[in-house]
Amino acid sequence: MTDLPQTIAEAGEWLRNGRITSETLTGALLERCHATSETISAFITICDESALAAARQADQELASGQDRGPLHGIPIGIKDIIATKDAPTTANSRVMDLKWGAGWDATVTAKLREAGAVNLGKLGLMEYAIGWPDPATGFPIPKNPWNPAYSPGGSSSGTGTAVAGGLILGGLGTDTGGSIRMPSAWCGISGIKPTFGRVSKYGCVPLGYSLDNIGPMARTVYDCALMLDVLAGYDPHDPCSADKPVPAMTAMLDGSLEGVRIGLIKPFFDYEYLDPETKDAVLGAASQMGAAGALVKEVDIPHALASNAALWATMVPEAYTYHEPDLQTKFELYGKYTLEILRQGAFYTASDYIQAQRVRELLREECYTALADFDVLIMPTTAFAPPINQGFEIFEAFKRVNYTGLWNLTGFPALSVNSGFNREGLPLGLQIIGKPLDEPMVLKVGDAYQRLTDWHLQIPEMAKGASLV
Amino acid sequence: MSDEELAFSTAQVDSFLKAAKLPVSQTEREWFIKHYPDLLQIKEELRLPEVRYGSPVLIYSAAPK
Repeated sequence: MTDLPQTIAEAGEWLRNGRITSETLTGALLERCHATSETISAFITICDESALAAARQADQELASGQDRGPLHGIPIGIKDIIATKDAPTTANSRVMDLKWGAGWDATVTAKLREAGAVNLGKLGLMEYAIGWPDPATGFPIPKNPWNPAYSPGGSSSGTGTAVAGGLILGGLGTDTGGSIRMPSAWCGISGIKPTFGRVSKYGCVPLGYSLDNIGPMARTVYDCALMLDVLAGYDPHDPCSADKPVPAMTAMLDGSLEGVRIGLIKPFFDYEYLDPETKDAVLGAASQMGAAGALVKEVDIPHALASNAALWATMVPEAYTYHEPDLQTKFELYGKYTLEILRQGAFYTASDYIQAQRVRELLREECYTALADFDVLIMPTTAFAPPINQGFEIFEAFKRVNYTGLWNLTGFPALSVNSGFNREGLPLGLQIIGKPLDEPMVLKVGDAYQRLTDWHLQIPEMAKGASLV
Repeated sequence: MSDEELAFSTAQVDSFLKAAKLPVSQTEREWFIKHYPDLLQIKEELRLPEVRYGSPVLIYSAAPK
């Protein structure tokens, strides 16, 4: 009996030293995907045949000396809102026209295949990447592998669940207001929302045109860097794509925090509803980084909490624009919570939307100023720990400040890493933010923190003992 | 919610839904009326004095300044 590799880097070593083949690894993980389909329900579609065929091809290529790089032969999963030629794209919705995306790959999917990654299937999500799961829609609802009674976060819930549950070694999420970082935090894994425009969105169903990002989620920051190396780059098919040089994402991962200037964003630590355990975990991380040589100081972003209203007043109207015809004619097919949020788009005036963009500009100026004297900023990923899976009250959610949306509004890169566990044994997240297009520094700090701690190496009970028999 | 506020919320909600041609059930309509003040609060929070003469981010660039 052989244990399964826990990370992309580890699997890459095993594939190259002959300890495992991609076909064996893929087969073992596919079995786990099926075995957990009723318990943690990470996938909407599992692509057994195409995954095994891709794994066999990866093995043949490696045997013949053709090495496509760190993702060669690595089993991954893709959020079911991104087009893949081997499975339909449902967006977790009965509204979705399955002709959309059929038979072709989004730019990110094509890049992952070209790099030799093996797609195990399409991962669950909140309907159209917004809202909260409604069991009445009939789609699988991903559960938190640390305790299935709790939410894994969203909207990239299936990706968080599958990585934490040991079903895949890495996956794609999308992030419009925190949808990569929130499930990364609550599932105890790593996930980065890159700089807006760094990764092509072509072939992804939009939620908020000016806020959407695609990014990697994996157990370690190092693995996220390996994936982002493949995903990043200009794409003329995406009008938001940044035509900028792409640095090597692993280049700065030297484990050193010596002299790195880290700013603690004061308003987010002073927020009256911030969960004390979450706050303590992030302050503890800051202390550890300071002890390792980082220069840690408080910094102010005066209107940081106003990002909450600006996020909703931007995201909801943008999403409404995409959904308007279906809200008029196919409204009965949406889940309850999706419908509640999307319909609100009709209540925002053009003036409200533009006003939100004025606030956004103010926030962008303040964030640039805050980062002028720092290499990265840090804060909790969320203001509260994972809630129990139950009903959802959207306006209660609106009233609690979203800790991730500021970085969608401004476009800055933001990474979430596990910073510990609360009394219920649920993971908590630390968010690391960098200057636009400076993902290598963000990844450096996250990777260095993971070398100081072992939170990211903790595995949920249900994922322990996973092995090749 | 006072009677006056309720009447205002009801008129606003009905007007917006009609203009957008969005069909809703009576329960859903009442839900929107109940929460219309919450929506107004979000809109109010956007009216910061600091941005009274500010420019909006209309053309977004990821490039650093």
